[in-house]
Amino acid sequence: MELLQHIATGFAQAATTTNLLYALAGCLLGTLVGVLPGLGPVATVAMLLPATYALDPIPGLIMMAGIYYGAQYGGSTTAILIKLPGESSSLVTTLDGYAMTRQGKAGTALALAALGSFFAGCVGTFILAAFSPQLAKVAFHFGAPEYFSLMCLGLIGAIALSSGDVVKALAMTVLGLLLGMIGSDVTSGETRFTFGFLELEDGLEFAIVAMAWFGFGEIIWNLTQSDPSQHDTPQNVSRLRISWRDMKVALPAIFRGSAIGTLFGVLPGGGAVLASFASYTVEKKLGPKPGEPAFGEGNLRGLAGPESANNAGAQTNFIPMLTLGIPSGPVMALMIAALSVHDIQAGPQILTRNADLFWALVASMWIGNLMLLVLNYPLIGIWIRLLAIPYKWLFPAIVLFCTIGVYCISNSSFSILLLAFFILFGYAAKRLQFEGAPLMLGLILGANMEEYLRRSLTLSGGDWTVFLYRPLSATLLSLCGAMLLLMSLSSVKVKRRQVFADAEA
Amino acid sequence: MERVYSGAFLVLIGLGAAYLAIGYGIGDSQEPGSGYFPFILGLTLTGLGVVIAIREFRSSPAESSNGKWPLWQLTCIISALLAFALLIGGVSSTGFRGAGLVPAMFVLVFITGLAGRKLTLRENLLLSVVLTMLSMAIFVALFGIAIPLWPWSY
Repeated sequence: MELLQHIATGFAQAATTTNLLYALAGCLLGTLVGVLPGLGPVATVAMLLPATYALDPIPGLIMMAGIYYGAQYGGSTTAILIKLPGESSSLVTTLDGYAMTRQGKAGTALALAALGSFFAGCVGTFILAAFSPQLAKVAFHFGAPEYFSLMCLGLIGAIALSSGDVVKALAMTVLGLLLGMIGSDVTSGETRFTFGFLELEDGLEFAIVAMAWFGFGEIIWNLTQSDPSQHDTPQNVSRLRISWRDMKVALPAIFRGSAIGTLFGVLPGGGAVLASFASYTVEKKLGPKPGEPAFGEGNLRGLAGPESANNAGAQTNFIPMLTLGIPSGPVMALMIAALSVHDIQAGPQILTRNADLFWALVASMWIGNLMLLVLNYPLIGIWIRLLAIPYKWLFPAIVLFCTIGVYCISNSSFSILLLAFFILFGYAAKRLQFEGAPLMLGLILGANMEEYLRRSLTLSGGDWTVFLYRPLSATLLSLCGAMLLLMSLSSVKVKRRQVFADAEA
Repeated sequence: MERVYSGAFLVLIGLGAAYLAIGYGIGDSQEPGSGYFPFILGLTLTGLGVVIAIREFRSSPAESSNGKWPLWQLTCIISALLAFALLIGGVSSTGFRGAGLVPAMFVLVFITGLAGRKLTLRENLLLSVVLTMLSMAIFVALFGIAIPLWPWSY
C-alpha cells in the first residue's frame, strides 16, 4: 500500500505541465536519435547535459530518461522498415522484423513491436518501483568495504557481459579509473594529473569524453564506411493493426522477453543490448511451432521477444544506478554526472532524501511509455522522411551541436581542445578494438572507488583482508574472481564468442 | 605493429601514472596518501599493457592489419574544432580575444563539411549559413546562452 501511495505522489509530481513537456521532449528526441543512424542516446544525453544543469533536477532527469528509453522505440522502427538498426539493441529486430516488412506485413510488425515495448516498459518500471526501495534498505547497511567490492563487481560484470576482448576491456577500465583520478584529491586537496592545467582541477568532465567517444567516434567511423544513408526506400505503411490470432502467438514471447529484459537490465553492463540478444536466443531455442515461419523469416516471436526485452532492460537499468550508484552503461553514468551537478548523490539515500525525484521519475516512465505508444504511429511518416536526409548534410549538424554542447559546459575553449584530444584517442582505441564503455564506467566510479578503498583501509587499520572478512564483501569479490576466472578459461571464451555470434547470425 | 604499440602505449601511461603517484605521496595501507590508489592503478595498467603487447606481437600479422587511417576525415574534424576554439576563445598571449560565436560556428561547420568529401562548395556554404542561423535560434534565442556573438561583442 505504501508503494501505491508513493506512486500516486509520483504521478502528481510528473503530471505537472512542465514535467509532462520535458517527458514528451525526451521521448521525441529519443525516438529521433533512435531512428537516425550515427547518433545514439549517449551522444544526445551528453549533448544535453549542460542544458540540464540549468533545469531543475526532476525535469532534467525525466527528459534524459525519456531519451534513453525513447531511443529503443525509434531504433526498432528503422530496424523493421529498412533493416537499419538505429540502436545496437535493435540489431536482432532486423532479422524477423524486416522479413515481415518484405512480406508486406510491416504494419503488423510495427504494431507488435510497439505493443511489446509498451507492455515490457510498464513491467520494467513496476519492477523498478517495487524493487528499488527494498534494495536501498539493504544498501543502507553497506559499509565502505561493501561498496568497494560492489564497484569492483560492477566494473568486472560490465566486462564479462560485453562482447569484446577481456584483457583490453580490463585495461580500459583501469585507464578510466586513472582518468577519474584527475583533479583535486578530496581527502588531501592535492591536485593530481592536471599537468598544470587549471581547467582540470575540478576533474575531467565526463560529458566531454562521452561525446568524443560516442558522438564523434561514430561520425568518423561512418564517414570511412559507405554512406549509411544509402538504404532501401521504405514502403508506405498503410495501417498498424494486429490480429488477435497473431497476438496470441506473440504474447508468451512478450512475457518471456519482459522477464529476461528485466533481469538483464539489473545486471552490471547488461542492459538493453544483451537482453534483446538473450531473448532472441531463448525464442530460437524453443523453436518454431508448427505453422509458424522459421526464425529469420518473419517469426512473430522472434520480433516480439527481443523488442520487449530491450525495453524492459532499459527501465530496470535504472535500478543499480539509482539505488547503488553503480551505472551499468555510459548513459546511466551520464545521469549520475547530471545528478551530482545538483548535489544529488546516486545511491540508497536517493529514496529517502530525494524521494520525490525518484517517484516522479518512475511515474514519468509510465507516462512516457504511453506517449511513445500513442505517438508512434502518427510520427512514423516523419521519421521516414528524416531518414531520406543524406548523411553528408547530417553529420556537420551533429558536430556543431556536440561542439556547442561541450563549449557550454564550462564556457572555455580548453574543453574544445580536450574534446579534440579525446576524439583522436577514442578513434585510435576503437580502431584497435578497445571498447569505450568500460572506460566510461571506470571514469565515473574512479573517485568514489578510491574514497571507499581509503575509508576501508583506514577503518581496518591498514588491513587489506578486511574485504575478505566481511561476508557480503567477500561474496561480491568472489563473484568477481569467479567471473574473471570463467572468462579466462579458453572453453568459455569460445562459448562466449559463440553466444554473441549466434545472436548476430 | 600498430596493435603492439597500443600495448606499449598503455605501459607508458601506466608507468607515467605510477611515477607521478609516487610524487603525490603513496603513504601506506594504514594511511593511504594521494598517490596510493593511482599507484596501484598505474602498475595494474602497466601489467595489462605488457600482456596486450605480447599477445598482439604473437598473433599472426594478417590479423593485425587495420587498413589506412582516415587521415583526411580526422584532420578536417580536428582542425575544425581547433579553429572553433581559436575563434571563440582567442589567444591570450597575442591580445586576440576571439571573433565571437557566429563566425566560429560558421567556420566549424564549413571545415567539418569538407570531411565528407561529398558536398560541393556551394552546398557547403549554404549548409554552414543555415546551420549557423539555426543554432543561433536554438541556443541564443531559446536557451539564451551568454556567449559573445560577434567580434565586436567582446
